[in-house]
Amino acid sequence: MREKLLEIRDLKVIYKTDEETVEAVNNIDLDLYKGESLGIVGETGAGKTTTALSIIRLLPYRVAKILSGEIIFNEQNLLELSEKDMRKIRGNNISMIFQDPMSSLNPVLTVEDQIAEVLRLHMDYGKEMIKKRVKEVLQLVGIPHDRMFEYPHQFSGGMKQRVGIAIALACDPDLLIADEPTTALDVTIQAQVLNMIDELQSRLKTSMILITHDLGVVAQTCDNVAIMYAGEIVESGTAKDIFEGERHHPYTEGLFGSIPNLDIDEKRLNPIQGVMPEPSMLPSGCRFHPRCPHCMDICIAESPQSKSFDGHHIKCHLFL
Amino acid sequence: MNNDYKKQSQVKEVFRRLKKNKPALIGLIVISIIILVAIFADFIVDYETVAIEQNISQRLRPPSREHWMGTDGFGRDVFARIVHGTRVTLSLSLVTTFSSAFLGSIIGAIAGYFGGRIDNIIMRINDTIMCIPPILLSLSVVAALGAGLRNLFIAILVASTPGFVRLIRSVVLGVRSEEFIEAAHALGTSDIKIIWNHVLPNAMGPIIVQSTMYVAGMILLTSGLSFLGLGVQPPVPEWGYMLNEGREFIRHSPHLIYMPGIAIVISALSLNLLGDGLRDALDPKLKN
Amino acid sequence: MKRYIINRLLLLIPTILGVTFIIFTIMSLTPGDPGRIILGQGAEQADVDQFNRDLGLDRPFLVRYVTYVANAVRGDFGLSYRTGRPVYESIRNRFPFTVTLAFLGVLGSMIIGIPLGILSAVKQYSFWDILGSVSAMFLAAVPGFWLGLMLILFFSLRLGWLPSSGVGTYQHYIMPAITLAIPGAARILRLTRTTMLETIRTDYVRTARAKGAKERTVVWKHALRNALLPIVTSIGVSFAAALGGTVITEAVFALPGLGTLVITSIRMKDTPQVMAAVLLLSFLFMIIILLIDLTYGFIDPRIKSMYR
Repeated sequence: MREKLLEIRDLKVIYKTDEETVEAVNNIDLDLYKGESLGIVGETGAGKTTTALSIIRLLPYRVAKILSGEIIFNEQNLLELSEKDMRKIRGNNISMIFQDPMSSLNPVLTVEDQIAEVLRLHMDYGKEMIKKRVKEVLQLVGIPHDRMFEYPHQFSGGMKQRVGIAIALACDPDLLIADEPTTALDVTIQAQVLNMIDELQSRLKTSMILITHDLGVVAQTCDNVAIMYAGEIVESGTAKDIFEGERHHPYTEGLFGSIPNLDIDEKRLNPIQGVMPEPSMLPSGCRFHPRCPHCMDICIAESPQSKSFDGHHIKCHLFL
Repeated sequence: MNNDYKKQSQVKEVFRRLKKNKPALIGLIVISIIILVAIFADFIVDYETVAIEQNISQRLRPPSREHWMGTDGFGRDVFARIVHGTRVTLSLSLVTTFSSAFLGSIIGAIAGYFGGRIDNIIMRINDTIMCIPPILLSLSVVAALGAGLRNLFIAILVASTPGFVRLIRSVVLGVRSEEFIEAAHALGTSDIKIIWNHVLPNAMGPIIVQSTMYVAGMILLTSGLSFLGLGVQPPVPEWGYMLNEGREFIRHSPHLIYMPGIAIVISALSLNLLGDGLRDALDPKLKN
Repeated sequence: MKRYIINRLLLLIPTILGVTFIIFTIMSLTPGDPGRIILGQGAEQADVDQFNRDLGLDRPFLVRYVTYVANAVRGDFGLSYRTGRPVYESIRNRFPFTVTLAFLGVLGSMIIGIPLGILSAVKQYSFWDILGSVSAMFLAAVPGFWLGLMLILFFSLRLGWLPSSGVGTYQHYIMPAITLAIPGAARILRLTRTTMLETIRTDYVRTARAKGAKERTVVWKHALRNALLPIVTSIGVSFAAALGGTVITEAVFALPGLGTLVITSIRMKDTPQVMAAVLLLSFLFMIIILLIDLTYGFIDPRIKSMYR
């Protein structure tokens, strides 16, 4: 029996500066079940990180605003919690791995201190117990525990991200949000770190949201996939739906066209034409229509509704 | 051609951003008024008869309709002395700033552009000078050469140039590695031409910002040294020296203290506001 | 760390020699000869020449410099032209006073500037932030000597609370210390605000928030320690300003420190006296800079580990 852990309904987030207002996330719905993993895929600026930061409510203060929606986590709406209650959840029930390990660790604190901090905040541990747990999680992520008194600058990029993962896993969270955890790393290290995350997630039975722009990464790690474009989820479903299904949103097809396929002898890639629109100047109707090879009159006039084929959702006029 | 156009639009863009910054705009307006006062001081009040000539029967009068800011210990009109003091203080501060910016830019550009041993020697000397607190350095020069306008100028120049040298050198080091410098080199352009045509124009932004801030600092420094009796010599009206003279009468004629001080604060404040705004407008990343 | 300290101490020696050389060069630019200045216009030329020979002024510049340094190392900074007594004597009594004053000034600017800067940054755009920034802008434009006079006008003459000049009680220190502290406080406030704003926006502060840390912990433990690095560096600038500022402050409040000695000596053309005072204050400044650098090494693990 699948048990729902996280349910996002109708989430709308805007960024407001002196110069302009930007719709970063526009009425999205997402579901995540216990023990499963969800990949959110999209280009830079599609609203993936905004979605993630909305869940732990760490959107840039003052600039970002959640206009509407619900984020139900373990049967409570996170958007209605007080800041104090939210703090009890951050790092404890929901934790996050950030994109850039180089800047995500505090340069003046030891690794031990930074891992122990999250334990001190949420666990009722004594000093010895904390130390023991720090060693445990370091071992979990493959860092020898005699390095725990070192500072971040003494670690390589991959090692720093392992520390970031250790911090995130220290309190055994129900939900782990990994925001492009390998993008900033060397290609050779990426697979290592990704395998580790994948392995830990299934071993610890943590639910995970993995944010990435790389479909290959999702294929390797995720049970479910959501494709984001210009602040909307254009297609979502199981990994099988996305990678083997017959029907696809044209954007998803475009994404697949951008990946070199070694099985088929192709002369060149088929990338999507054009660029993602500026979030401050979104097109009318379907947001993808200026780049869509199947664009119809209705696409320019009307934004499509999402249609479900047995849990495989596609938001496109082609399928309405 | 293309470059000119780019330069122009850049200036426009900076001005547009500056206009949006209210405090900076106020600073610009106020400092413009002060500069106008300095230029047209002679049309506002006569120098010889009002600002210099003593009139003992009229001494230490409080502000009145006849004397807006009262009179000083020699019966001279304080307003007239403040107006003409604008000319002295402002021109001295501007000239010293401009001179040290000029000198500092040349030395800094040489150090940064040529690097190696030349850079090493220049910066060694420069850093050593910067180990001496600026006021003490100025005082040493005054102690050696004696008080007076010309020596005050030299004293401040010596103390304020090293800051510019360091700034310009770091800017030039940044510019030097850019591709267009290499391109100019490849075309066989001479070093001096490259520095003059390519390196310094790119360093203009930081120089302007630093200079604006410096003028404010110079006003405080020149008036400070004059206050100590080591700068501008009487009877020339200078704000710092006016405060020095006014001290004697602080108990009964406090207007002699208020007025020159307010003049200094307003000038320095408006320059700081303008400098802050310029810095943000020229390069938001330069903050601090 | 030990290597770092030794390194820095060794570097101090050439710098001190350099500073001495610069000051010595400036001082030897004095037009006219000391014998004439001291003995007066009426003295016989032969006496003047004899006087200059006694002081060794007829020897080449570099020889005089080396002699000066050699003597200075032994605490002999020459004789005062005015009193004929060792200049060190008059400096010895005044030095501690000026140093105390400068320290009080810097301490005052940090006590005022750092907390207000943090407050401004944490509550960005709030009433307190605007008030803090505006007053910092304003106070940075206030010259010390005028501030001192205004304080005298208000607290001594109008209210009669504090003595306007001289020394004796702790009350005598209050207004001079404030006069020295305010311009520095304005600078430190602005610097603290900008660096705090920068660090509060860093990724590692977001990481700390994602751990569920309280806002107070985030500010004090994560942001401040990092923001402190540039602030600590800037304390050097504060000391330079305060050591120079004592000259003006002492003049305003008629205090018996090195500053007033320098001013009188300049008026009396007592070059050795000026030179010794300026040199000692510069040495003090260099030692403070050294201490700041060492502190920096302790706060920033990146530097600490470089020298382990």
